[in-house]
Amino acid sequence: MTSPTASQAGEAIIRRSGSDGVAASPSRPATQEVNWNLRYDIHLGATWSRFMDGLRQRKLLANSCASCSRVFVPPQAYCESCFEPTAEWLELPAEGTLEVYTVAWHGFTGGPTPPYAIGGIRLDGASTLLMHHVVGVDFDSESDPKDALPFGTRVRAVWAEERVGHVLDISHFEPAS
Amino acid sequence: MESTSEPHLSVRPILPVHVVGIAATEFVTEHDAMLDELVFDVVYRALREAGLRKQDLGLSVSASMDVLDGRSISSGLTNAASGGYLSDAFRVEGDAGVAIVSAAEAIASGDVEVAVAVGVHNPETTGDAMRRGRFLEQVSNLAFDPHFDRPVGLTANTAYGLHAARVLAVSRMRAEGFAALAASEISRSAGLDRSVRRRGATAQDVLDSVPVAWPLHELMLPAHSAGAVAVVLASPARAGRCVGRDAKLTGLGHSTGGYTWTGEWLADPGAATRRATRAALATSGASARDVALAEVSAPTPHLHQPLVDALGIDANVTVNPSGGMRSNFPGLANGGLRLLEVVERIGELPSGSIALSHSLDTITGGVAEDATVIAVEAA
Ligand SMILES: [Zn+2]
Repeated sequence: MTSPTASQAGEAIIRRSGSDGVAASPSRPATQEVNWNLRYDIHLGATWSRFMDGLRQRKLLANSCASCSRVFVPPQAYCESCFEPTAEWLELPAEGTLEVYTVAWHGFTGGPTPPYAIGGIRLDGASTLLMHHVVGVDFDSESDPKDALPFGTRVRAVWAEERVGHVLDISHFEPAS
Repeated sequence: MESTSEPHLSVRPILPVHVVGIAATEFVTEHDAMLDELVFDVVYRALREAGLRKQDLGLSVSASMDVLDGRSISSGLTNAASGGYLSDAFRVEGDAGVAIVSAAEAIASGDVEVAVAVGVHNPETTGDAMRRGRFLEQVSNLAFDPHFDRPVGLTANTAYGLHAARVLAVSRMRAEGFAALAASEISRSAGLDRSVRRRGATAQDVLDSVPVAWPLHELMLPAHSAGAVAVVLASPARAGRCVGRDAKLTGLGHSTGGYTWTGEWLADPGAATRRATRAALATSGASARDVALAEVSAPTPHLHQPLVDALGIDANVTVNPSGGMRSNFPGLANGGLRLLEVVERIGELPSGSIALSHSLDTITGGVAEDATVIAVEAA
C-alpha cells in the first residue's frame, strides 16, 4: 500500500513499496513518538503474597492440588486442569535440577543486559518449572554451552543481600557442587 | 511432565462457510500507513472480489493488539475500516485465525449471511530490523506475567530457544538437520511473491546467521513482516450469488495452551494444535486421511515435527508449499495469510481431499499459545 502522509511541518512524505513486494524506498516513513508511561501497582493476591513473603525469609513456598497431587512453584490459587482450589502449603528446599536453559544473545528495551541465560528449574519436590537466571554458562558463541553446564545439573538458589518480596530476591541459580 | 488425557470434545458437524473474497496488502518490513488505511484497503478489495458491498456485511471481526498498535482500544480506529460502522463488529486481541473462526461460526450458526475477518499487523515502531526486533521482544516480555517470568527476561525468542535447546538434547536430529529444514523452506519460497526472504539459503547459511537465543539463529525464526489480510465469508446460499473464490471452510478448531510452569510447551508443544485439529476434523466430518495439503505455522524448525504430528498428517501430505513462517510471518495477520496460501492452491487438490490451515499467536512464544485449525475444501 502506498500512502501519502503529512509530516508535522506539513511537508508531504511519500514512501513507495517496490513492485516486487519489498519496501524499496530509502526515505524514512513519517512517524511521531508516543509514550505510554503508566505506573501500575499490580495486585498479588493471597497466594502470591504468601510466596513473596517467603522469599524475604529465604523460603521457597509451594502449594499442591488435592486432586492430582501436583506441587506448584509458583504456587497457584487453583489447579487449572482439575479446576479445584489448591489446598496444602509446603516449603521446598532451595535446590533442584536445571532441566533446560537458553542464552539470550540480544536484549530488549528495559530488559536484562545480554548475553544472559534463562533456565527452567525443577525444585526438589515440585511438579512445575520455575523460570530464572542461571550462572555458569559459557558465553562463547562458538562452543556448545552444554559442555560447561549440562542439562540435568543440580542447582541452588543464590539469595540477594537485600530482599523485598520479589522473584529477584533469588538473585540467580548456580551449580550446587 | 506427564501429559494430561485428551479432554472430552463437544462439537458437531457444521454447515460449510464459503470464502468469497480474500485480499492482502503487500508484505514489507514496515508499512508507511495508518492501521485503518491497511484494514480499509484489504476489506474494500476483498468485498469487491466477491461482488459485495459494506452494507452486505452482517459482522466484522478484526484481529490486532493494542500494545503493538500503540493505541488503547485500537479497534476504535479500525472498526469503521473493517466495515463495522453502524454495523456489528468486534475485535480479537490475538491472531487472525481466531477472527476467521469467530466470523465463520457466526455464519455457520445462521446468525449472519456475510462476515469479514481481518488481521492487521504493522507494529508502531520504525527503523532497522535490529530496532524493530528489540521492540517486538519488549512487547513480548510485557505479555508474560509481571511477577515471575517478566522480571527474568522471558520473551518469545527465549521461549522458542528453551524449546529448541530441549529438543536438541533429546532428539536424534542434530543442529545441522534443523538448519537444513529451515534452509529448504527459505529456498523453496524465495521466488514467490509473498515471501519476504527473497534469497535462497543453505543449512550453513542458517547456522552462520545471527545467533538469537541459543540454539536458534535468525534464519530459523519467522520472517517478520507487516501487512493486513481480509477474508470475506458467506453462507452457502449467499455464496451461490457471489463471484470470487471457490473454497469453503468445512471445519473450525481453536484451543488455548497453558502457562510456563506446567512445562507442557516444552514437553508437548503440539497440545493446543492437537485439540484444535480434533475440533476442526470433528466439525468437518473428515478424517486426517483426507488431508492433502497443510499450511503449518511452525515458528522454529524444532517445532515443525511436533506440530505436523499434532495435525495428524502423514508423509504424503504437502506441507508449506509457501515456505510457511520462514517465508513470511505477518504477526497477527498470520492466520489470514495461511488461509490465503491454502485457498490459492485448493483447486490443485485431488477431489474429495481437504486442506488444513494452521495458525498460532506467538506473543509469548510457545507458552500460552492460541492455536487455530481450519479445514478447507474446494467449493
Ligand atoms: Zn490438580
